[in-house]
Amino acid sequence: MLHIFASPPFYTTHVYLPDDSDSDDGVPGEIRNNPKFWPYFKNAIGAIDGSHIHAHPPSSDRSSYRNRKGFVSQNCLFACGFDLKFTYALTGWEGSATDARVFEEARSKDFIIPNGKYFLADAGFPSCNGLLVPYRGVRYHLAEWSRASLRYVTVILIPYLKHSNTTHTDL
Amino acid sequence: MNKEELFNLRHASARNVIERIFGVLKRRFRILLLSPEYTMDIQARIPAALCAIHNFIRTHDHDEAAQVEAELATDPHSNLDYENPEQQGIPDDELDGSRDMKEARDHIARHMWDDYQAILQERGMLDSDSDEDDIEYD
Repeated sequence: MLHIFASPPFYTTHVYLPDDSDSDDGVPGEIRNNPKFWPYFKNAIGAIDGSHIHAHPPSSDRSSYRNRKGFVSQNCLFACGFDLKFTYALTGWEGSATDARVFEEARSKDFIIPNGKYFLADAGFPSCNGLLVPYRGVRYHLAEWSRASLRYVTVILIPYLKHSNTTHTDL
Repeated sequence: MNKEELFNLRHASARNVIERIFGVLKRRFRILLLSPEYTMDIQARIPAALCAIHNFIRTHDHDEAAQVEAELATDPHSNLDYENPEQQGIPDDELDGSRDMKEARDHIARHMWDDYQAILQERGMLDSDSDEDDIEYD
């Protein structure tokens, strides 16, 4: 049963990257209808990130599956569109592999980004054709979260601040 | 705030779609929170299969999809991944094409910033300590 869902034709019918011919379909509504994103991100076709999923490898391999956070995992690379559908997945990498390493592997295989388009990615990914990453060494401004709950602000920023040399007295 | 910060802010906000989809996937399929004792080959296929099923549901059952997202919205912690991307730092200036995308990024950031300044000026908010969120767009 698992193989049916993870293999063609079911998998390929439901999980696929946009191709060049799709580029005429226009910009997704989630970008076009948001003046904070439009027209700046008009060539964005979604976002990518790695996600650590708990794994149970043979004991001889356990150490390579242990990730930076200390648990045993497979690092899976996912891409999705703004319509909240997956467009790509590369699974099964050892938890110790970085997102950049898994991305490199994906890129060398079947992760094809149409010319002139890009995915949004975090600073763990390289700046290269097909990826738009944030500026490094620039703090994330707090304004966006200022109207959200304080709890939310704290959870988002603590991991960032912990490794930052900048002092954020406004927290 | 400067143009790089404004860019990063909006970039993070648009990129948030991937955090949301992870939240939906992990909430919908609890097997992802376990480490099942199958072979690694099988374990690797599980998330891929669930992505396909997620898309299938999303295509065919809008009610269900809306319900999962509504639940997610009430639980702001469920979709947070405690990543610190900076820590994984990789050299990003030696890759093919990195200069093109950096130029594209600068162009976007400048464009965004100019528009933002124009809106602030138009509304007489330049001198105030206004937040991005204070700006209401039509």
